Amino acid sequence: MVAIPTLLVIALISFWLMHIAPGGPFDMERPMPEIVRANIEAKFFLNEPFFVQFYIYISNFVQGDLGPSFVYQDFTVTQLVAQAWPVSAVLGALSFAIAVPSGMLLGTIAALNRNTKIDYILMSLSMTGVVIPAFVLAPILVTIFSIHLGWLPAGGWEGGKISYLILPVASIAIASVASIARVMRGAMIETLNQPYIRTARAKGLSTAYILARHAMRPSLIPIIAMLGPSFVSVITGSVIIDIFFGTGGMGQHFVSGALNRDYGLVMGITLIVATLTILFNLIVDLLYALVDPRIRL
Amino acid sequence: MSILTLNNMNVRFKTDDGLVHAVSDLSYSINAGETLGIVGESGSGKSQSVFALMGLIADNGVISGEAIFQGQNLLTMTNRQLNTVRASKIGMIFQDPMNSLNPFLKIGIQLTEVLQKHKGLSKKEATIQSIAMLDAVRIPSAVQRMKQYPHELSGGMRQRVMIAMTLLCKPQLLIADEPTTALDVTVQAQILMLLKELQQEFNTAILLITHDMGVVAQVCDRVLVMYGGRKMEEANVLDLFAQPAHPYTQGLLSAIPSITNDVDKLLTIPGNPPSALFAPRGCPFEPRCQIADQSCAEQMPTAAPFAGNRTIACHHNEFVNFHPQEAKA
Repeated sequence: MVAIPTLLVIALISFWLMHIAPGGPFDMERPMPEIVRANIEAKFFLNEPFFVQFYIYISNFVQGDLGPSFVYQDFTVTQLVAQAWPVSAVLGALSFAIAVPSGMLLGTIAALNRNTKIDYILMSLSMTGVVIPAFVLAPILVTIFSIHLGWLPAGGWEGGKISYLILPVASIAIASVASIARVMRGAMIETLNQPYIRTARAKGLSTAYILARHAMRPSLIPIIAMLGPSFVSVITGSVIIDIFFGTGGMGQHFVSGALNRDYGLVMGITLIVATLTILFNLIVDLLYALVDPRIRL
Repeated sequence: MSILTLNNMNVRFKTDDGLVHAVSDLSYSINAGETLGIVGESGSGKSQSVFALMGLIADNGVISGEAIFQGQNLLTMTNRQLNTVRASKIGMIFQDPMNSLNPFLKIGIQLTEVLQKHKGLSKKEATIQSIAMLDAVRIPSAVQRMKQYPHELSGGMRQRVMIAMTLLCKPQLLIADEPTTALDVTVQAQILMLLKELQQEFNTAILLITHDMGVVAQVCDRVLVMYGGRKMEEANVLDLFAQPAHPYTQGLLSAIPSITNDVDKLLTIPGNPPSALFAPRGCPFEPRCQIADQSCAEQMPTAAPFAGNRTIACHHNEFVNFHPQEAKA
């Protein structure tokens, strides 16, 4: 329920930021006649005071209307988003679905082989993965796999064919895999040192069973804590990836919207991402309770 | 008949600071149905000596010597082989009931998994037997407890669950590592009584690790006193309390405050326990011992039979009747 005021504050701040940014959607190289500009501004309520504009926007928003795009005048923001969001959803969901289990797996392997060569190799790799940003990683991957090896296309969407998905998803997911692996390693080592794991070993249970039944759930807690930030990084990562690979997701609209001062488009995407983030954090809180019985009330 | 015999067991840990001598040259045996207490202060190696038996020491540990259990050496077993012994033949109760049960799993799962693993019972059969065992350790409304998580139980209840868990397979040997340290005195007494009763019912041998002489006096048949990772003295409990032979045991017993005499100052053994990093050439107790001489610093006395059925490791056996209180007076 805190979600609604949070969302309002986010909307207000981004609305305000858009307005104090210099320039507007209708600033052209050649100034348009004063009367035309006044007409256009009246159409988009730009002549109204700031809070009136905000009020009009929010009242449309709660009715599911994200308003008109100021630049792509043939489309409403809702239409633009409806086109773009499946791409973003597929990219985001795939990256997430790959990053979380593989990060957990690699982290567990590193923890079980703590302070051996396997651990050192995995952890140096993941350190590299954590520090390389997506906008550096994506060109490197394209150079290797598209230009030199010619295995995969360098960009495009083509209705989401797998070969077109691999590079963008990898570019988004690798940073998350790396950071999840590091957290998982730490969490698993911590869990394996717990007295209750010693109890489980004293009970003559096999190592695999102990891992699956006794050690996995406690180690999930820090992973769940990471899911929120990780989700955000997938979203921000996908903005860059969208542009780099020309996949046509929401990231592309977001950036072009910001550059064109397309108030309606930027506001729409900001609020959708904010809503998703809030929703996701709610899911995360529910997950905690699911995993740790001590959190249930 | 002895069911577990240790011969010259050593436990070492390789650390960045050097080799830690946790347990040195430890030998003892325990008979079926008997309770052997191992006492010593913190860091005397008593806990590590039993962890080593169960293959539960840290990865940097190195064990040598032998521990013969039913004709097999526990110390050379692989983890897989040990898993056939753990819980099914040797059960272990840990010190800290708050953290020794998995907080993420229901009590029922933690109990039944033992039976399913070792006895190959079905879930249903395992549940029935687990409930019966919870009844046996006198946990009220056992059926509901099965569905509860550890945090919903008190410390004493959790330790009862722990005991029930270790008794499920009716092990021949029960190792209890300070089972009552974290509990208040009333609960402590109940738990000890319970252990005693269950021992009689199942004819289990109990290896009881403690630093509480009161607990020793209450439940043990024989006592082994450890210091600096070594056995200092081993004797029947009555003999030990009546006439401690080793200077360390004497110091330990005289440090117990009496409830009849009002004293201003509690008696202590001056000095600190030795660091396990430096294995002394001589007796580890030598720097704090009031009767030590040159030979004590140079040579470790071997544990030798002394005065009937006790064993002591001291060059000065002749000082059996030495009492620190009298010496000070």
